Amino acid sequence: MAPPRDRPVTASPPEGTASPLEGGNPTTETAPPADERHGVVFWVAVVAGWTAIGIGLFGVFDHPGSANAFKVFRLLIGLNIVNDALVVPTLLLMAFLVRRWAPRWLIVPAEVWFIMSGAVAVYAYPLVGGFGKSKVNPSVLPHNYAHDLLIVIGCITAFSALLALRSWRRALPSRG
Amino acid sequence: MARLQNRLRRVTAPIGARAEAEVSRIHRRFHSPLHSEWLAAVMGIVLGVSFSVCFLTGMVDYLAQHPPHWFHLPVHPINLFRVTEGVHVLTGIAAIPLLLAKLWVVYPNFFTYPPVRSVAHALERLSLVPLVGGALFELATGVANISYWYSPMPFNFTTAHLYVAWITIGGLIVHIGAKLSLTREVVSGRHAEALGAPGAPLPGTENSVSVPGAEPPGRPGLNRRGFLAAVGGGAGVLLLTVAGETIAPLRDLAILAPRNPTIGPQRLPVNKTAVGARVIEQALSADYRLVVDGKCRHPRSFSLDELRSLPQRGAGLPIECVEGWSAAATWRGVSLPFLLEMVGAPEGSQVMVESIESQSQLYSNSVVDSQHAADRDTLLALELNGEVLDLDHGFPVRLIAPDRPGVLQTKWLRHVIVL
Repeated sequence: MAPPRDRPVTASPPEGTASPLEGGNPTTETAPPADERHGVVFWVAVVAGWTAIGIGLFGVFDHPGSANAFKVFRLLIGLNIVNDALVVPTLLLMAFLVRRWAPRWLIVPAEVWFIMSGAVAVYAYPLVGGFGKSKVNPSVLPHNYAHDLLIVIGCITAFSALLALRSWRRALPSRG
Repeated sequence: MARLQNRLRRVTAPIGARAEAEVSRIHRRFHSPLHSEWLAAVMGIVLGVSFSVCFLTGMVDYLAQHPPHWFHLPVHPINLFRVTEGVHVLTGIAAIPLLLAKLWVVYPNFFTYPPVRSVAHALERLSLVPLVGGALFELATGVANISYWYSPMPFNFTTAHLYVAWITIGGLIVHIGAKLSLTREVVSGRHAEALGAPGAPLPGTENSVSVPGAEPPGRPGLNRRGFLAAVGGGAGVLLLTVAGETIAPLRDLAILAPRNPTIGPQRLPVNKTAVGARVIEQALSADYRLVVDGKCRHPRSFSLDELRSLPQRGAGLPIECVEGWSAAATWRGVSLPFLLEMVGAPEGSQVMVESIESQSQLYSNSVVDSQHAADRDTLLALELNGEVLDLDHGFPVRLIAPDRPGVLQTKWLRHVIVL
């Protein structure tokens, strides 16, 4: 997430320590960082983990009638790619835009609003779309989910507005 | 050979240096302290716990739904399956914001050079494909399934969800092995000392936070604790607006639940309707008879009136669906052990119940194990909540037994076979 150009990041970690600004990747180390130590536990985990992965792969390939391996792995890899190439970059862009244009006191409330509303909206998408609605079974998806999602997002907005009000009032002295 | 290697090195060295510089440049773009190891480790712990709970409860649910000969859900407590299934679905829903946030936090680690530093590092990175892809797959298909949205899943949900769960948990085990020492450092505070305490200002900045959860001056926006609180808040809102489909006191808040346990015929939801199962004609036929045979001394069949004339037993039993909703109801009908005694079935018998649905349909029959068959609360139900069973609830007769997945509570019974 890039900061606004007129608000330079002043933080810089002491030399020889891991930098939190760079995802914690150490720049100068005398000993291997904790995430690069591969001891006995790691190798035991590799054996156990790949055994479990093997069971899963065997299961998928062993049930060609019910678990079409090609379609399962297409979705699995596809979701990976969509997340890395689309979802995260979009979130980064949104966060950049918020930090670039929102007043300083509004940034935290806006980020809280995006995170909470986004989580609810992702979950509610198939409900709002009504993709699983049944004409013969009124007990399936019985609510008006678009309306209900608006209510939930309205509550989150109200909460964020309270945060914004508090933040704005605290920012007043420094603005004057 | 050596000359070729030298030449290759000369050719690739500038490319490597360029790639390294490019990766460094990308990393410098991720200024946010939210892309931190502390945050990644904390979220990793929470996700590790939630996915492990999901995996274990999911296994119980799968075994209950497709019981092998060595596994039987106990008859009591009658709400055991209700709890495991509810925990499974709700934990999965709460994991949605956690997973997306975690993937955002660790995104800069996607760009590293060299991409692989050793065999161990290669295995570690390779295991991220099944872990990340599997986790996204599990949550996406899980949400699609509870929303009855099957078109994005051109495969059998249950089978794919089960085996991809194994793939995901395998990736998680490798990831835990790779990150254990780092996580230990974070949890013990040793790592936090090197990076600065969570929520504390970055080295070189002053600490005068004006809003709780905000970064100190010089860097507007959420700090790590604030970020965690917001993500936890998102998970909390989801739980609050969904959990009421299985936790009765939260029912009024469950506006985003795919089911309302009070909406449906006789104030109880149904999964498969009589129209969908194409059983209306046979279920309403005046010639209807329930046949009880198999390994018993006095096989016989019963008309609906004959069944009604037998001693009736009432029981308050929940109906619990693998999609996460459940609701308690009052059932009344003939106790299965009484019926088995009547036809002279040996003690400890298992039975198979068959629906009047086409037997090629999924869950058109089910086996009732000997424990459930011997329990007096296992009913061939004729009434629900004080009324004659609705057609959609299995009229004329359905099975209802304690602590069994809803798909095994076979409706529209026509045949009971003593095994």
